[in-house]
Amino acid sequence: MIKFVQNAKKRHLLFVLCTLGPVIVLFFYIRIIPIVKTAWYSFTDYSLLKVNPSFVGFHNYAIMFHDTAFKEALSNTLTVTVVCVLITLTLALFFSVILMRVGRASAVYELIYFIPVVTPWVPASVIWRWLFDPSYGLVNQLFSLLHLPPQSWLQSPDHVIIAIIIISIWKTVGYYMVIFNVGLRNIPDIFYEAATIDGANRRKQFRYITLPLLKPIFLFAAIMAVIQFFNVFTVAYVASADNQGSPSYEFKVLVWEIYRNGFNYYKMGYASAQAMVLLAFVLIIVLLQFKVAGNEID
Amino acid sequence: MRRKVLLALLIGAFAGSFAFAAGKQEPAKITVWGCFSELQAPLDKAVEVFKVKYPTVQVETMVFDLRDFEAKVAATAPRGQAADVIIMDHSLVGRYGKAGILSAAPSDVADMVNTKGRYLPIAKEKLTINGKVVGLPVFGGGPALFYNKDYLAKAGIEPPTTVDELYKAAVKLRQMDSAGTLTRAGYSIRLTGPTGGSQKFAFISNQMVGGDIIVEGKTPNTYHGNLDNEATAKALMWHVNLLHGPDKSDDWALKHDTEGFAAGAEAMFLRESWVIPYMKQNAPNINYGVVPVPRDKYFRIYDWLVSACVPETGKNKKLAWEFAKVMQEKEVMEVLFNDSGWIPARRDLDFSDILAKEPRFKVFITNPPEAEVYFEVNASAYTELWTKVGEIIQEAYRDKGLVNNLAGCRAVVKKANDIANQILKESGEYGE
Repeated sequence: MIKFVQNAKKRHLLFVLCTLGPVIVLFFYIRIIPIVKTAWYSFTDYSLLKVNPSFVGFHNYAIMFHDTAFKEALSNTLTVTVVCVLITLTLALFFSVILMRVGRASAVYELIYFIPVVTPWVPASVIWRWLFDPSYGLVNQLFSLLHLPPQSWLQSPDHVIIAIIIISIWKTVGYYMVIFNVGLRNIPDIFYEAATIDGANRRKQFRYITLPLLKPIFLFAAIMAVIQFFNVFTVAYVASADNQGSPSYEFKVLVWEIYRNGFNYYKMGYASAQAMVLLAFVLIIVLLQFKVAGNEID
Repeated sequence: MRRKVLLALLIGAFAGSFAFAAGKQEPAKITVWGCFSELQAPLDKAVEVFKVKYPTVQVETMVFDLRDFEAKVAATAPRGQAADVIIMDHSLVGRYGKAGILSAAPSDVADMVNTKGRYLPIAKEKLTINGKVVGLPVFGGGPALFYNKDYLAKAGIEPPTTVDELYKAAVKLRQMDSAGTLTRAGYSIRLTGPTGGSQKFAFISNQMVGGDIIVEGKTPNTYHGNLDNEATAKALMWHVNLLHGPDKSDDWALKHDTEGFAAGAEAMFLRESWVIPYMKQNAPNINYGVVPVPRDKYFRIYDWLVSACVPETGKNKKLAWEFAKVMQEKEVMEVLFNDSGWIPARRDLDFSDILAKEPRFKVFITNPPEAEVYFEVNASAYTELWTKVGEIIQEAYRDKGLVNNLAGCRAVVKKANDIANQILKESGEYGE
């Protein structure tokens, strides 16, 4: 009997190794090893044009504190992340709660809200770039109908961040709405029935039943949203990058700075240091989220 | 027994397929990357000509926008993964040449570059790195002033020949609506895109300063900033005064550059010869003229050189250089000139038939004899230099407080100069 169990355990282990092994090896090769290499490069003066990089200690990290472009990119990225996470998740929850009441037609609305999610970032950003055009854009046309002055959405340093945030929220709210839909549908009706019997109105049911039971989903969505918005790049690059015919104010974000330092300035060591800072920021925020929300879920 | 025979057959077939694949001769293939989308037509012609001599060789061509092209080459060339032929401008040639990434041209190609009168004299200097020729010139060409003839005729003014006349013409040619919003730029300034922005700023500042924004040091391969002077500050003020205040003649909200000119949203702008086929295709009804860059105390015209280079790690270097030679053929150069609008690097060929059909090209072919032609320096940190200087300049364009404020402009150009020198020191290329 013992031998049978031991053989079964061995076969089980072999099965796990055979099925998960290649995936784990691939994961190490495309994720862990590049991260470790990036960490190493961040302590060197690695340049694309230089064959043998030299160790420079924390020099790359030290100059980051004086790099105004990096500080601007960090500030912009943090602002976009905080604002987009808050608004996107709030809107997503709002839409999903409304759709729960729509009934059968909710599938049609879900499809409509999900279309931006499946649209690739590049064409979506190009379309929005035209929508925000100061002379021909639909947004300013609508503004003129409402007797509001036209805005330089992508040309003004004050307005470009608003445009980027609008595009980012439009593009992602459908995804989180679907996630919240799943969460809402998994809340047993019996809780709501009991609450109704006890005299709780819809607002109280939402506050004392829906929100607490949605916390695991909310934590997942918040973490995904933070990671996603911290990596904002395509919309900033396409919508606000140099287009000689249509001037835009270049909206600096962290990933773009990393790309620029690495592939335009050839300073791979410095770009690696910036990438490690990005990783550290995201890691800290995610761990904080786990700490704050994770305890309550337990 | 049958199982063993079947297994043996399967193993044999499997092993045999490897042997077949190893023994099978793949046709030779070369890849070519071009730095502008308008190079596709001349590349297609070059492939057609190349295939006459090498019918079995496959040629794959790809063209990119300039900044994406630079990033692609940066990511691949040092790793030996770039194309077999890369068509790049002289600043990239300098960077990659000094890093040993480009291969030396064979003797017949080097002789072409060294042949007097075949190319601009500067070609030999720009393409010779550490004593070796590393590229074959393809095209070049600097800017000229494009102006809308109808707008100028209506305003009763002649095309400007000096920087001062350009300023006054810009103010006269602007158009505003009843609310005072600018609807047409008198002169289109490069307001965004810092790398190109600093270059376009320098089109004007060179006329006042007599030198470029970054210049060579006394020691070879060293450079330093040339912005911290009153003339550059005046050039900045010239631009700012056209963007704010009573002489406002341009705005960020308008269409700019060639698109704006084609849309009739601007009266004048400085650009290279590729605009001519663009206008022919997109705005054939715009009645425009071309004159040399307006001068000031000095008369300096920017030029650049784009060449076909072969990476050292290329697998088909011989074929790659053969392709580069094919690009020199007259029929390829004619397509380059006619379709892309860029000025062929060959100075020993006769393009009179193209010039007869489109005389506006003549301004780009022959510079006024009193003009000094200048090229940007071959610094390794070129992109970072021009980008960070351009960011400071374009940020200053937005500052209304700099209108008629020479002291303020002087502080800005000093800051740009300090940043430029800092970058050069970090890259080990600084020298007074």
